[in-house]
Amino acid sequence: MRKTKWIFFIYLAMVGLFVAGVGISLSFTPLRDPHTLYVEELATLKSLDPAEASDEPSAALLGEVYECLYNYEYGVRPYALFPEVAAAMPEYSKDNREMTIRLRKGIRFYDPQKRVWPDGIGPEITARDVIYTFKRICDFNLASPIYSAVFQDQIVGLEDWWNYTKRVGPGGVDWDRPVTGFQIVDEHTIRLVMPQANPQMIYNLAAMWTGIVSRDAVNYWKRDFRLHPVGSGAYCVAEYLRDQRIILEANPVYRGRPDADEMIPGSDRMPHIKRVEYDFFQEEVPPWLLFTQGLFDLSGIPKESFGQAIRPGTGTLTPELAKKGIVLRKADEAATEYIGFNVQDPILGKNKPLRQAMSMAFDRDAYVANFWNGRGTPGIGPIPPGFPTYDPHEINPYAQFNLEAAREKLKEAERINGGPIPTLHILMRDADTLSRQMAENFVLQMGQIGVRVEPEFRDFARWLEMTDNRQTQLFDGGWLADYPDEQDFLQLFYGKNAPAMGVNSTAFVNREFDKLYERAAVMRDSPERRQLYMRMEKIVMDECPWLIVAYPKSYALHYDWVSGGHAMDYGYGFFQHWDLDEKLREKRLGER
Amino acid sequence: MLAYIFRKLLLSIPILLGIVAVTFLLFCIVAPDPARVYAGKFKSEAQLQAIRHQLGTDVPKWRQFTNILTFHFANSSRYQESVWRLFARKAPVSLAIQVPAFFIELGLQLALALLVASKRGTILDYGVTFLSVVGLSVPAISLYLTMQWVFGGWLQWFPVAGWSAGFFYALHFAALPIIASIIAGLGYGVRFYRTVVLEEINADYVRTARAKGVGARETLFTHVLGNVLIPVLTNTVATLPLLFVGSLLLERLFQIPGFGNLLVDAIHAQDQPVVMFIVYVTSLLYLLMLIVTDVLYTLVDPRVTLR
Repeated sequence: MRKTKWIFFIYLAMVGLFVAGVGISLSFTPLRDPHTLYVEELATLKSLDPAEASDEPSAALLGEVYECLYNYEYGVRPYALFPEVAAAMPEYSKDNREMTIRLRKGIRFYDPQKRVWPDGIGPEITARDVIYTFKRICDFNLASPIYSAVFQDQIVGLEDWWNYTKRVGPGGVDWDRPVTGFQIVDEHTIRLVMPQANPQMIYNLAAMWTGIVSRDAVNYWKRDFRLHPVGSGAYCVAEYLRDQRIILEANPVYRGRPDADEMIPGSDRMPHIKRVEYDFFQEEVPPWLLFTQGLFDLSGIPKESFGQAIRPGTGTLTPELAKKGIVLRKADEAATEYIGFNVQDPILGKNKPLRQAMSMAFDRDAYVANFWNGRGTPGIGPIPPGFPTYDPHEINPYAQFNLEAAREKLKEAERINGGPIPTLHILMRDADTLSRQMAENFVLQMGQIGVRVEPEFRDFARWLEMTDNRQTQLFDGGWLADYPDEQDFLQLFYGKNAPAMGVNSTAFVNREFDKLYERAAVMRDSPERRQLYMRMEKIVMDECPWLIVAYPKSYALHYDWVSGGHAMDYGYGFFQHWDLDEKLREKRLGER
Repeated sequence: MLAYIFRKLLLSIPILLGIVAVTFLLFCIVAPDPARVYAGKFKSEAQLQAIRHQLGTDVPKWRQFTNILTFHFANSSRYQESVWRLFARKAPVSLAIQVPAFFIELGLQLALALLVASKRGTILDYGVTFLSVVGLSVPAISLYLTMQWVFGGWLQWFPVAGWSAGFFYALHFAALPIIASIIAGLGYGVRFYRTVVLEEINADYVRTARAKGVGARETLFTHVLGNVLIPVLTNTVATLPLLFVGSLLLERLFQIPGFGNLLVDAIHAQDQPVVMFIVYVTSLLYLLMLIVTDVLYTLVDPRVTLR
């Protein structure tokens, strides 16, 4: 009994200590900095190394720290590139195979931890740094997921470099070894040499994957460089708690504007907001709660809370949120959601009327209303809004909901098939509730014309493998534009991308399309090229390798004490353009 | 006893091998190529070869298996970091939630079980039993979300979610998940231990002690509690290794960057090294703790001998 009593009292003491600790901790609320923009991010970062940041969240964050040769003018439509680290737009050779790019002078790296350079201020960015950045992406030992998207087969001499790095291993690479296609002309001039003209290469030079890195920083941090970014952008990483929080602070040696040649004095200097704090979440409800409390300045709208935020049928903010000073910003996304038909499938491949019938049996308006809360535009063709060739009034008869016409088409399809259409299988890229509901909806819709469909559910990794290997009949998919050129979507139908692992997941091959594609591939933007694009799009609409579902719209919320924001599909380094009215925020939060 | 322990250790080896082998085989059969997942939408064979080399998946499967058995895990394909480093970083966070929750919950379960068992048939007994059944029936996710809404969103006594470095800052974020975890686990424990205590209270030796004039409290704490400890040990000691893994759901909802959250991410991302690490290490610790439980029986109950 005595022993039991002692154990009991010790236990009580421990519980008491814990309760006391909790009581004390209630006063340890992390201080809110009045100069900080608080942002929530529903993602896990892959890496803070531009060469590894193939996911959007990592690239978006890195865009605040790193700079590329080019960037997109903020808030400008149509999208236009401007030279950022480059001094001017590239000079092309007569055959368009060579791009000569001059660099601005005086742009320096900054290391906030002052480990690479004693005072943190690094050397000026030179041609050597730019070429090192590019070569690094093409290093076998780094295994960058960006390599095949950006440079492979698109720069002369790259295969030799790749094989060389593979041969010598990670410690033996001589970074000054020349590569024919990556030339250092002088200290502030580089030249890229391509096997054939590639008008889209400039977009790669404006993508965060090619953010310019310092060789000194990489050599210092080695493998940990992915945790310690050292860039030349408007912000630097002051604190990084993995999977929790990143704090960005204004880069003291940033020149003040992305298109400036030298330091801009005074109040014109950007960034205006000196500190940005990102908190990372995997579930939507907790950050939503925190946003409605005013603890985050920006937010998306979780599906479950959509009714709380948006008035049904109007697409406008509810009075409760509007009263708090919350502002809604809507924008079309440069993306297309679709259902793909694997044209290698013996049933679907030879049966265009079947694909057309299924496309006409799909009610896009109801789908957008029921599954996207109205946040989308019913699809017409593969090219979404925002591109020059997109025409909202264009008629695609196979993208219009018409059950009668669909049933007529199905009769034609059954004649080609030699009988009723057997059960088809659709592969969904997730097994969550929403995917199951969407699949059920699709099954019901196709059932209206007598086509039986059975859904299969996989996680994204498995879905990716099965679509890569063309192991599906139908599959749900989506494509988000990487740059403002219709070629980014049209490559998804190009015959040479049809073999396994290529981006042409439907394995669609059409000789006329391919001829037009190859003609357009070496042309820069012009009315003639747009005509080619429009002809290609017509082929795709007619042949129906995709059932075009819809183009998503983004609904973003922010408090009215934040201003200067624009929806941007491309580009990076946006927060430097924003403003924060600290007094208004303090007043509003104090009133609550 | 040593012979017993040695025998148990030997028997554990094929069990452990079996668990690891089955998990590894499942990954080989079901999981996609992690290189493709890492590469994303644009990929080439050359690039995949480089990624496989970095992930360590370009060696034969039998070599990968033996590496796992000798604790040479490949880097996490999701984080590109050593799984040991991930463990060192995340396990303390999980433990910071699980250890206080475990001990407070256990103490409360035992205390309530003893109380209601000794007051069997009274309103208190019925009331606590009813609440326990309600607690058992409510899904943990509903409880966690409700507590977030009420204490974080409405009353704003605690942060809704998140974590921070520093002892008191971490405790500030840990308080609500710990309380939620305790409440979620109370129902089952109270019901189970009440049954165990009742069995002992109805035993002959207790009736004899009471007949001899031993007080109710002394009977409970001196005679009954000691015999209740065996099922308590069985129920708790072997689950101690799982404290490192944390509660997957709790960490996910409260945004705790612990090992449970990592496991959920690893399963979603088909991150084989992390999943294999957790399966292997927790199975090993579990089997070891079963042996420890057997040894502890001999301390709790002198009648038990291990041969």
